[in-house]
Amino acid sequence: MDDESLGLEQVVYQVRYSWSDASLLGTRGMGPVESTLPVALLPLWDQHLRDHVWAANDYPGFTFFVRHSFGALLRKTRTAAADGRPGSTAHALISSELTAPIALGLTCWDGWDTPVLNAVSWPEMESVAGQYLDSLRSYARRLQPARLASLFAQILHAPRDGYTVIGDFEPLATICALGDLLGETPTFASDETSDGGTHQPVAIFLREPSFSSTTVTRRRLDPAAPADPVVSAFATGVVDAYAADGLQGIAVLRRAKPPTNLAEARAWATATQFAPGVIADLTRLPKLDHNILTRLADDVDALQRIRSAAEEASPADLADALDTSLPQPVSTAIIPAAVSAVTAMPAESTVLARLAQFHPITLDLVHSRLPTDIDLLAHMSQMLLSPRDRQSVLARATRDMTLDKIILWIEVNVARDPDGARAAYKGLCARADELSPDDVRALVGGTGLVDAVRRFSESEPHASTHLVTLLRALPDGTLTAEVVADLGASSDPLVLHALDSTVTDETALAAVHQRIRLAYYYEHALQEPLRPPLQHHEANPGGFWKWLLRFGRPADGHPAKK
Amino acid sequence: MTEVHCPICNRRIGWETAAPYRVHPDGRAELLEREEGETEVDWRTRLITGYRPCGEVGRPGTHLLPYDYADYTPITIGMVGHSRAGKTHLLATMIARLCSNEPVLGRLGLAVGPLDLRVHQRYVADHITPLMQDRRQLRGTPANASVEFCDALKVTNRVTGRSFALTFFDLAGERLERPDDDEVRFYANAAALVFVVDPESIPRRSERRSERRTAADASFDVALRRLGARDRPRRAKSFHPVAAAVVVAKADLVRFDDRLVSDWLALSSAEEEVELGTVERESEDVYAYLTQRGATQWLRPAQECGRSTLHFASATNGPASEGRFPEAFRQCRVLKPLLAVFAMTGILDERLLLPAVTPAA
Repeated sequence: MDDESLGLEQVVYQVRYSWSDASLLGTRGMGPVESTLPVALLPLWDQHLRDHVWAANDYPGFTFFVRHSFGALLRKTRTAAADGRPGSTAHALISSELTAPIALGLTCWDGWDTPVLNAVSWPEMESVAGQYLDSLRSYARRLQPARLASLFAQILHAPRDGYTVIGDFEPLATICALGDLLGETPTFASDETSDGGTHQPVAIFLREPSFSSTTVTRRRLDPAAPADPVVSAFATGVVDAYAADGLQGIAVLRRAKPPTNLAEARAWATATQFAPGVIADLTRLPKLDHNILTRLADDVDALQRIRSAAEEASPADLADALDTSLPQPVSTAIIPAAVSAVTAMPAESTVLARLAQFHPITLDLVHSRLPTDIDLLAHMSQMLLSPRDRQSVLARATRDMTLDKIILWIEVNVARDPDGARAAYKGLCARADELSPDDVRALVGGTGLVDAVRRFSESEPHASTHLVTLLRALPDGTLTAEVVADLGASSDPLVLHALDSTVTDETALAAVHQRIRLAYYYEHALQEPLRPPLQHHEANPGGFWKWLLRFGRPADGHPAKK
Repeated sequence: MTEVHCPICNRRIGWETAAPYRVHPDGRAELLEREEGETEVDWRTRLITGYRPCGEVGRPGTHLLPYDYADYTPITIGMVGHSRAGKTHLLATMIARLCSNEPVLGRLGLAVGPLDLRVHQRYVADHITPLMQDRRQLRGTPANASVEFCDALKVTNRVTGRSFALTFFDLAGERLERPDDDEVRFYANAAALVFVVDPESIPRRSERRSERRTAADASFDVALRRLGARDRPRRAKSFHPVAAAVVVAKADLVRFDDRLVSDWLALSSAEEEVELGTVERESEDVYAYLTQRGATQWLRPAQECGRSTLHFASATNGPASEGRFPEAFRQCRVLKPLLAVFAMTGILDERLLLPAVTPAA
């Protein structure tokens, strides 16, 4: 039978079964009494439906199966005849659109057992099915985990074979859960008295073991039965994830088709777990039981898998995975990848914020993942590394920068990130041997760098020390008398103090002292003495006038005037 | 030992070589093996609750028969009749009476006990107790139930010293009407069939002959057609080699339509039931009754089977109300058809069916 033979104009067909003296097929007993199927097709479908129309218990039972690419969902209920004799009535929906998940959703459809079989709208039914399926799934997630895991593990022994579940009080929820876990909702019969016979749905639920003289050949799942250890541990982990987060929790398990045998099930389990019972989902790690996490921390292979998974993970998943409750070996396996993620996508502030919870992160762990861009590095290192490590990486980062850029970076960032500026300054000092006298004039003679040093220093003496460090690192002979004279022209006490501490050339040193005196006089509104130093005058006739010309009064912009 | 056939699927069984099995509560069959040092008595005790399979255990469609099934002469009795003819209630009351250990049964020399304890206990729990003790109307037999015997009894005739393994089949009428149901195979080996006539289905006396609907019970047609496949004794080529008891069940519903019916139903004491000498007269009356009612189609079993008797019976002495039977609930003549079957199948001496000197009425 195909769409053409059934007619496409009506998508959902209905048949009602009840006891009658003469059914639509002329038979006595339980038979079709109302139908929207084409007349010619009723006998054919009766053969498929008639063995599924008997209610087993007082409340409704549902059966779903597929024939000729059409899904058929039956709802059967107990009824009483006119004299009260217990019987059954059943209502069947048949549609090519009907799948097992939709069938589960339709079990709460309000059109069951309406007095007359009215035309139904498939979109409306589909919508109803979707809503109820969500509710059913919520309920399914609350099923007893141990029992569900055991059932799932046993199914995985032969995933394509039919099975019977005995004594389950929530068959529809169990079917929903097992379908979600396996990735394929089975055809089902939610409440039967027997699981014998041919053409049975995949999953059959019996209230109690069916009594029969016919040997049981159908697999009966026993929650207490032992299962293959690999799939058993897998099932436990999967069910935990499903219970906690529903379909999203087991998203990593999705595959095109469910496994078909135990070997495939094992392979599936191995491929989708970090360790037995721990599905390969980074985001679930923080939710795992403490004992499981402890075991995971000692499992070298598992840690390697976590590491690999982290490298492939999205920034969002990494952010979810990073949690300070994780044992250190586990978080250590994730952190490098997370640092890489932030480096690659600086906008992922969530990941960086989660990483910051692990501050200070050991430098060895992330060193190779750190960005080369000084701005990003400064930002990340500020959030992740200890001050000492940060200083180290920033200083190291300046090695590849031009001196101009280092200086500019220091000047620009010192207000916001004085520690970073200090670190960069240290890098600058390390490269002081590259500075020419003119560079030194520009650097120290200007106010930018000196101001920056002053700002990242705790005090003037500290700032002076920093300047001294730079000056002492200069190549020998850089601080000539001329250079010193030029530097001293700023009359900045910090520069003068640094020069005073650094310069060894006596002439230059005398000039520095002269400048210091002048600065002092100026500060105290004193005229400078006009008498030149005797020794200078005698040794160097005319030198005094040169001094006067060279050492003028401090400019108005002198810091001491401010 | 003669050939042993499975009463359910008619498969020939290598009885002596069939390994014993025990059945777990969940239905799984487990090979029963003699334990080291186990005494013969203990081993036999375990075997008596064991089963022998009719084929390979683990293959679909293999049945488990009581371990000692073939120690006795197998007699399969099937109920035939359309849906709601009254088969289930009739059989339940028949077996209840048979197993009641009534002293009158001793007159016939019959001793009855369960052959398959599991099956019998289930039958008692599901059918006999609800009906006989609770007076509850039994649920209609689902047509999707496995085709199996519903009860298995061991009946011993102390007079002859012979024991019989009785298996009873009570399938849904819907199923019995299907012309090609391959799973219904008990016809092949059935020693007797109880054809249950639904008095509500046969034409009423008030109906004119021209108005009478003569649509027969399709299950009768199917049964007789299936019996046609069996070998017939050369002496009686035109008859099916099976004993047939045609029972107008629920006769209480028509007792006021016909004096004949009420008269026979009035004769329902235990003593009368075991008096098989009245069977011939009763058969004549039932034959006449059905003929007068234009229900000759329902007489086919009596006409086509090698041995046959006809009966009036009422399993409940009145209809149920809201699923329960009222105070007048009792059984009328339910045992007699079964005892007639016993006589026709050799469990009892067939000569017991010869007409009694004393008229029944």
